[in-house]
Amino acid sequence: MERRDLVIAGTGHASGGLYNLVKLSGNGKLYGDIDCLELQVQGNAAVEGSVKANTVHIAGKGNVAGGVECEWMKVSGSIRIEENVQCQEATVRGRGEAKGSWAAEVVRVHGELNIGGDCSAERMEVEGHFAVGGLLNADYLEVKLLGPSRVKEIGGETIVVKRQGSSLFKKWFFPAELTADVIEGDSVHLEHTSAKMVRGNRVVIGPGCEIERVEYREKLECDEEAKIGTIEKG
Amino acid sequence: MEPELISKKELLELTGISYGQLYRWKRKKLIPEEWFIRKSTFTGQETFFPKEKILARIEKIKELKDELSLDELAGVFAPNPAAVVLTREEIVKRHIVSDLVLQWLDDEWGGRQDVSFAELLSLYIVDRLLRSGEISIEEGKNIWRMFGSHYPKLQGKSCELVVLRKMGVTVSFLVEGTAALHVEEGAKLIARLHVPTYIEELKLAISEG
Repeated sequence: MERRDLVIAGTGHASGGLYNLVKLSGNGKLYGDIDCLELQVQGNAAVEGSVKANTVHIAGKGNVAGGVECEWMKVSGSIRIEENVQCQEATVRGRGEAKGSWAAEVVRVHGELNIGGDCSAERMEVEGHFAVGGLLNADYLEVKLLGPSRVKEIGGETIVVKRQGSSLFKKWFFPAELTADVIEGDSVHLEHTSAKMVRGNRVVIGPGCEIERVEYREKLECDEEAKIGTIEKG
Repeated sequence: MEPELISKKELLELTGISYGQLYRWKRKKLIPEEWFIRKSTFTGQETFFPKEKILARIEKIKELKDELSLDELAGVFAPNPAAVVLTREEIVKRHIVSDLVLQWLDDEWGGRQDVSFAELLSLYIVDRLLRSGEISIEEGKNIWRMFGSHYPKLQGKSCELVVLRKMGVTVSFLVEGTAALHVEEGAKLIARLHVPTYIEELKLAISEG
């Protein structure tokens, strides 16, 4: 079937299907699954189905009732996905939310990210705050904390969690801290993190950390202000 | 018949791999999700693995990782095999199965030349059983028919082939996933094969040929 363009300017709705370019400016709604080469949203868009595309670009607000499968995704504003996300590269400035799992090569977040299930990436950079309901599995994870964050488990090669400077108001009401059950990696650097268990080869426990148990193989550095329960060299 | 478990820490010490490698292989689906078994211990939640399977898998990944990319490796270990179709000639040439079972194929299908992966898999597994000397030719044939009629329903899922014998009567069946078996007294468990293991072997046998 031939792929044609779909353009909604203003308010409108259309059915899903096979498209070349889908451009929603204003307030658009799509009923059913869409399969397109390019999805562009400026304004407010809702898809009552899943999205399959090469590129997804959202400036404004996007709601997807199904899953998203794409090569490249860029969000300035917010996106809410009810199912799983699979993409090569995702950049979120603002807010991203997926109820299911999120699998990508590269994830960059400035703002907020909420994932209900597992998250896996080769490289993940977060500046802001985030929550992952399951396992966050990333080869390289770099977090600059700006607000309260929660992950059940983190695993990977290099894990770096640091705090960005924040205002006094924020420090009291939205402490920039990460809470996790288990953190495991070859090289782990943590600040302002509370965890039940941290395991790694080279581990740095920085200021503001509260760790119940640390197991390391090669090297451990602890900040004076860090609270650590038991330490084991294995 | 609970399989022996190994903790993540012991596994890393034993095999010399790092957390990064383990998580990377998990991400690339070289190690199936169901092998990560969570149990609570006195230090909190711990992850365990079925010892024999994970050690064999890691050995194999280490062995192959220099020749194949991780994505290619994932293809080797994926439970749903690629749409491979081999001709009878190729099977003979690569010595994948013995001539004896190939003969069945000829009898049943009368000289058909193309053999799909699933069909070849059933022959391969029965051939291995026959070679081990555990079953007779007639039993092998029955297992092969059972496999052929039931395996397509399980396509893509992990399963086990179980063969039981009591007082000379043999029964074979497929079990989805890995369940514990409790067998009545007097019955002998002839074979219990983890099918995905054979899928990997067969894929390697095909790709090496």
